[in-house]
Amino acid sequence: MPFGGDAWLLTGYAEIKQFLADPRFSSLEATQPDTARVTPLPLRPGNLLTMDPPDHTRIRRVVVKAFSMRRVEQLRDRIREVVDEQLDQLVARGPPADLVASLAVPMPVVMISELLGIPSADRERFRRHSDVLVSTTAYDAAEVNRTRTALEEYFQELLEQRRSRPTDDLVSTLLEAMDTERLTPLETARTGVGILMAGHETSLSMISNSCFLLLSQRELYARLVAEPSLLPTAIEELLRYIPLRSTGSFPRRATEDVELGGVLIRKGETVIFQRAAADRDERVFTCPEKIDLARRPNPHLGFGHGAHHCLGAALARVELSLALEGLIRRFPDLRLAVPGDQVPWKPGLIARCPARLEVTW
Amino acid sequence: MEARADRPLPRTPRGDVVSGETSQPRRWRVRVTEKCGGCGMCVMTAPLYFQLVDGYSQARHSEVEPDDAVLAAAELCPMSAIEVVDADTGAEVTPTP
Ligand code: SF4
Repeated sequence: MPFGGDAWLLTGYAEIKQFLADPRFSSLEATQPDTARVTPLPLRPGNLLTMDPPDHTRIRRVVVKAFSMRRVEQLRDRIREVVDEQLDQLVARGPPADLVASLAVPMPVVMISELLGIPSADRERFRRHSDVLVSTTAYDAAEVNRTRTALEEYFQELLEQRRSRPTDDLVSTLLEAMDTERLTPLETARTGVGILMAGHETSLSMISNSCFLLLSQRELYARLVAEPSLLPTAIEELLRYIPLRSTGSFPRRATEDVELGGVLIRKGETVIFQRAAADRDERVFTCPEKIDLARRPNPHLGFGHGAHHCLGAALARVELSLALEGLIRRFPDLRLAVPGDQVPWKPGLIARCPARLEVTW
Repeated sequence: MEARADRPLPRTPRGDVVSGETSQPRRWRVRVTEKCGGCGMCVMTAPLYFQLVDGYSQARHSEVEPDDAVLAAAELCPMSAIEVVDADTGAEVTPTP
């Protein structure tokens, strides 16, 4: 690995599922500096991603309500409204337009900010920071460290402000949890920053990548325009097919010797996995390389598995679905304004995402 | 309140949905619906009550004594696939609102 030595790489579907559900592989242990990884710095302890049960369960339970299906259903109208506002602006400005800047970025940023209660004036600030946090080679360790600290400090400020003026959002919920669950201010800030980052970075990548895929193989887009009822299965297929990560997953470390896929993994060794490989495993998916917008069943691992299964899965599904629904409804003739192979990508990040996606209609 | 610090899952079981009634139901009925995606979260959270069968979760017992772990699993389920109802009244047992 680029940093911290060797790691095992899992690629099989069954092995990855087993790994993700096995508490003997610790996320917390993987925050040690000698952990093999692709990022300049290991993840920090103290946010959901780097906790193990039962701590993880305790904190996750505090925040899970904000992301439940019930809650997300209540947000549906607001998400649709945000999508429509963005698409209205597209219409007003006329083609060509960059779908990343005009839809994929603003919509998830607005949603996660409203959920957490981030004032709109501050949103640009964390947006700029988030690329640094998911960097492999684009930014160095010192920069990553500075950015993390800046974000955590920002979040601590936000908590302080909220203490005097409580509101009905996730920041206030976290604040309450500091008392009821004995979270330290730093842990609370890290949990908040973790949710903030995960809540928009992956969603905006997923929307950008989905648009790229559907428009670079335009018969797929045309099919959705003709058959919008395919959207639910199409969403799942996009989640399966799109790699989203240019590298393996965040590492975990074995807390004892574990046999996995016929291999003995020793205590202390690091394991990463390539989710995209699992989701192309032909033992599970027929013709895995084919994009089948009606594929069913589709037990993909796009949101992970086990205790760290994506907290925002329901929100991400609805965001992606409403973004695509808005596009096919209002822009049936949408197409790329440049050839697919000339679309620029953001290099050096864990997230694999177009930098711009110029389209016309 | 005082008991909170030493309990891993610090909420008390509640079954107070029906018309503001506060008495605790004697039994809960637990069911995993077809929305289950097999992520295993419930099994990790409440292994006494859930198990994976062919990759999907199943309730080990269809009726249980009220236990906070069951509610924790229902809350944590990313697919909202776990139903918990009062066995007597059929009313949904919801976690804290
Ligand atoms: S937590 Fe929900 S989705 Fe995951 S296995 Fe249990 S019932 Fe299924």
